[in-house]
Amino acid sequence: MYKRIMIIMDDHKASQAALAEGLRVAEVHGGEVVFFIAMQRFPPAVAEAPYVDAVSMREFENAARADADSLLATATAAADRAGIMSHGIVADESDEVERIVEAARRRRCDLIVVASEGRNALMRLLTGSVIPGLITASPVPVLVCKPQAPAKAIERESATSEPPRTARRRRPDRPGSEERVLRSH
Amino acid sequence: MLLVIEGRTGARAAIAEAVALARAHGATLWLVASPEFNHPELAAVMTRQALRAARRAGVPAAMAEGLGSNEAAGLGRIAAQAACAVIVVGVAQASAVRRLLAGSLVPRLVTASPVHVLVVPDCEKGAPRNAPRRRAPDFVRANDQSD
Repeated sequence: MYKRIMIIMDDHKASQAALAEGLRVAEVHGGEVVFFIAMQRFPPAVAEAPYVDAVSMREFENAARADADSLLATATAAADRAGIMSHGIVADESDEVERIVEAARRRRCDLIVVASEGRNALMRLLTGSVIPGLITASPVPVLVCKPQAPAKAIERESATSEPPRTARRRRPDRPGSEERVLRSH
Repeated sequence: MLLVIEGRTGARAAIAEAVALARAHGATLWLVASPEFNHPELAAVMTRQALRAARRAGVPAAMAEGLGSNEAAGLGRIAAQAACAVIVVGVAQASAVRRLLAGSLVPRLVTASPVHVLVVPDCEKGAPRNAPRRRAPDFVRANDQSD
């Protein structure tokens, strides 16, 4: 079903949830992953505020590039351990949503996986989170992962979960539908 | 897997995605009607469509109730009670600011949900401009009125 999955990653701890879930989905569906890593952007000078030139723009960009490459290496190693083919994109953070959507189209991704930072919707808009814009602009489904969600979330539901991709797959049993109503209190 | 049923033509994409995903994972599909419905009759039609789509795909499906006044929290509660790993919801093509100001369920659900949320963009009439056209699988047929 999902053959090419884009996983959005940054240096936030919450990204680990996106990485874990994205790799899990790729494993179940026999797909490959495309890591999209946005480099940190040099903070713009604020008018009327004293500018402290502790780090030059070039030094900052070099450090940001090194961080992004390190993050990509870690993610790629995780994919390799899971036996999943992976690709990587490192981009600067300008127009991040547009770049993600364009990259997803170009790479023919059919799912985008991103981690929720846990903030409310207003805070996400104000702090520049990609999630609001991505949900609007993405032509494919977006899986917003919660760091506190149960481990192996999607697999857990399956009573006859798919075996690892190296083994032969079989379709799980599909009992007929039954009339049940769940009432929450 | 918990699917939020909404009263938009393009929301059939979310139904198709949820059914296909439940089928791929051997999961049970729980259905709940979105409180944003203004027409109970349309809610009933969409729900029947979803149940028929699940039956055609061989996916066990059932209704969930008890949303409560706080819809997003209610969906999270239902998902936890039914041991759902993901909530599937459709999204129409409106700007994030507009959705937030209009009180759309999606941003509140993304915040409040204790489990992953799969946001499926609307298809056909609701499709974004220049987006590749995503054809809903045959599980969900347009204008399906059969019982």
